[in-house]
Amino acid sequence: MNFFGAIGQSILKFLQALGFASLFLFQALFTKPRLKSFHLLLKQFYVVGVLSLPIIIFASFFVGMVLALQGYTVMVKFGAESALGQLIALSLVRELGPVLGGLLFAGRACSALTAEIALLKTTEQLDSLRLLGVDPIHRIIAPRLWAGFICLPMLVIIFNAVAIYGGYWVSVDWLGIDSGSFWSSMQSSVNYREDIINGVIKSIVFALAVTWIAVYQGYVAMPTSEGIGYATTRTVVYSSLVILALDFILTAVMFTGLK
Amino acid sequence: MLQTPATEPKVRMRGIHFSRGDRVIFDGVDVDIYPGKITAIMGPSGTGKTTLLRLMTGLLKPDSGQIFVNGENIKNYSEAQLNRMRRSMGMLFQSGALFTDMSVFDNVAFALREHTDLPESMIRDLVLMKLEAVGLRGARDLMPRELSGGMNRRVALARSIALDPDIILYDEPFAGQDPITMGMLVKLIRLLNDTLNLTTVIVSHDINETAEIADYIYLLSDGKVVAQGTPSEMQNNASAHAEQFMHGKADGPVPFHYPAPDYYQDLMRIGEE
Amino acid sequence: MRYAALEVWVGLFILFTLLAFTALAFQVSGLTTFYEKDKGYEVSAYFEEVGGLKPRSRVTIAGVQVGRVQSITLDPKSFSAKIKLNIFSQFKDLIPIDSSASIVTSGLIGDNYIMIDPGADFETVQDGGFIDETNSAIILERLIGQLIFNQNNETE
Repeated sequence: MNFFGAIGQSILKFLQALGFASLFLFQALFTKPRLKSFHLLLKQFYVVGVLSLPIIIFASFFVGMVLALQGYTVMVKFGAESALGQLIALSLVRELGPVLGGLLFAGRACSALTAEIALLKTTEQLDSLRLLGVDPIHRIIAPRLWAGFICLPMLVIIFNAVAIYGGYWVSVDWLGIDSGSFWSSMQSSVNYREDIINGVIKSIVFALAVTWIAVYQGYVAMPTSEGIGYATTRTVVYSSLVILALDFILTAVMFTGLK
Repeated sequence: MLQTPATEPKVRMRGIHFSRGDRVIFDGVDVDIYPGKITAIMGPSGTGKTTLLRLMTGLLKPDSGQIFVNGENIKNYSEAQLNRMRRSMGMLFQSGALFTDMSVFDNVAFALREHTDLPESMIRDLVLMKLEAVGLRGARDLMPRELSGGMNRRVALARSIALDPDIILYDEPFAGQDPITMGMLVKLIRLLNDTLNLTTVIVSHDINETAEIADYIYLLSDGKVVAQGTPSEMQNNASAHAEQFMHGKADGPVPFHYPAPDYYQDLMRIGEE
Repeated sequence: MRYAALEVWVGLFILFTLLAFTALAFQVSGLTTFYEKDKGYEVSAYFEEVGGLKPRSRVTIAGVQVGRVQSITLDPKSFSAKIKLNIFSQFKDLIPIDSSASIVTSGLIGDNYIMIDPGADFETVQDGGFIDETNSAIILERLIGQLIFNQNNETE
C-alpha cells in the first residue's frame, strides 16, 4: 500500500514540476524585450556561445578524424573507401553533430547556467532584483534562454563543418584517399534539405529542451551549497538523457520516413 | 503603549498565519510599523523574523491574514503593483546581496538606471552622494568580492536608499560584525532614519545595539508576538519571555534542552530491548 | 569584460557560424544544384522496373550529369513506371529522340542512376517529350534466378 502511494506521489510531484516549469518557460519567453536589455542577451551569447567554442572545435576535430580512421579500416575491406566522404558527412550531419554537440553543450554550458542561477538564488541576488523592482525572469532568465536556443544550433553547425574538415585532412593527407572522390561521394549523397536542415532542426529541438532544463533547475534549486551541486548534476544528467531520447524520436520521424 | 494612535501605521499586519511544509512559522501575528520610527522585530533564532520581512515586501504570501502597506491591502496585488510598491521600500539583506558581476558604483546606480531616465551625469552625482552617506565614496570602482563583509553591507545600504524610499528594512544588520562596524551601522541607521524621515524596521537578535536605537520592539517566539513595547518597557517587562531574551538567560520559556526522554532512563538503557 | 570587446567576440562567433554553414551547404551537400530545380526541361520515359531509383537521382550522358529524376509514378494503364526527368537548361536541344535511357547501378552496391545512350537522329527531345527506348533496372535476384535456371537447363 505504501509503495503505490509513493509512486502516486512521485507522479504527482513530477506533473506539478512539469506544469510549473512550463509556466516558467512561457513567462520567460514572452517577457517583452526592451532595447535596454539587448546588452544582457549579447553578454549571454558570449558566455554561452563563444566560451563553448573551444571545447566544440577541439572535440569535433577529433571526432571527424576518428570517424575517418575507423570508417577507413572497415570500408577498405569492401573496396569502398572512396565513399569515406559520404560516411563521414552523413554520420556527422545527421547524428553525431547534433547529439555530440548537444551533449558537450549540456555538460559545459548548461551546467554553468544552472550553477550560476542557483548561486544567484542562494546569495539572494534574485530577491534583491525583485525588491529593486526588477523582474529576475526578464533580466536573468530570458537572456540565458534565448542565448541557449540560438547558440546550440550555431555550435552544431560549426561542429559539423570542423569535423568534416578534420575527416578530410585524415582521409586525404594521411590515408591517401582521392580528394575529388572524397567530396563528390559526399556531395552526391548529402541532401541539403533532408540531411543538413534536418540536422539543424534536431539541434534546435535539443537546444530548446536542454536550455529549458538548465534554467529551470537553477531557478528551483535549494538555496544551499549542496543544493547548487545537486541542481547542476541534475541538469547534466537530465539534459543528456533527454537529448538521446529526443534523438531517437526525431531520427525515427526524419530519417526512416525518407522516400 | 507609547504609540501615537493618531498616526496611521505605515505597515500593518493582522492575523498572519504562515507555514512552510509542516512547520508553523506564524500562528496569528499582529504587527504595526509607525512612520518615522525605528521598529525592531526580535526573537530567538529560527522564529522566522526574516520571513516576516519577506511577507511585508510581498516576496511571500501569508496563508491567512492581512497586510496593509500605506493603508492598502497588498493581498491581491499583481507583480507589477508589488514592483511599484517596492520602489518606495529599501531592503538590506543579511549578506548584502550585492550583484557580484558589477562594481560598487554600478550596484548603487542600478535602481536609478532601471527606473529613471536620468542622464548619466545626474546618476553619477546621486550615486556619489549615497556612497558618501555610508562613507564609501572612495570604494566606488571596487568589485563586491574585494570588499569586507562590513563594507559589503554599507554598499548594500547605499543601494537600498538610491531611490529615496520611505520604508527601509534591515535583516540582521549587526550579525557577525566587529565592534567598530557595529558602531558605524548603529549610527548610520539612526542618522538615515531621522534625516531622511524614513520608517525603519530592524530584524535582529542583538539586544544591546538594537535597544540603543529602536523606538519600539516586538518579541516573537513560537510563531506569536510574546511581548512588545519601548526598549525601557521591555527591560522591565515581567513576562518570562521578555525576561529571558532581554537579559540573555540560557534557560526559560525557550528551553535549553531539545525535547528528549528521561535522562537516567536513556543512559541506563531502561526501556530499550 | 569590456562591452566593446564582447561585441567583437560575438560578432566573430556569428561570422564563423555563417562560414561553417556555407561550407556545409555548398561543399558538403553540393547545393549548387539547388537552383537548377526550376530551370530545365521535362522529359518522360516509361520503364518496366525502376529498381532503387529515387527522385533526385542523377541522369547522365557519358558519365556527365545532365539532369535529375523529378518524379516516379505508376501508369495505371500499362502498369509500367513513368519517370519524369528534369534535364538542365544548358543541355537544351541535345538529346536525339532515338536515344535510349537505362537504369544502372554505380558500382556493385551503389546508387541507381539513369544513363542516356545518345542516338543518331537530328531531331532532339523537347520539353514534354519522351524517350521511347528504355532499359529497366536489373534486379539481382532475377538475374541469379535466371542464372540458376539456365544452369539447370544446361545440365539436363
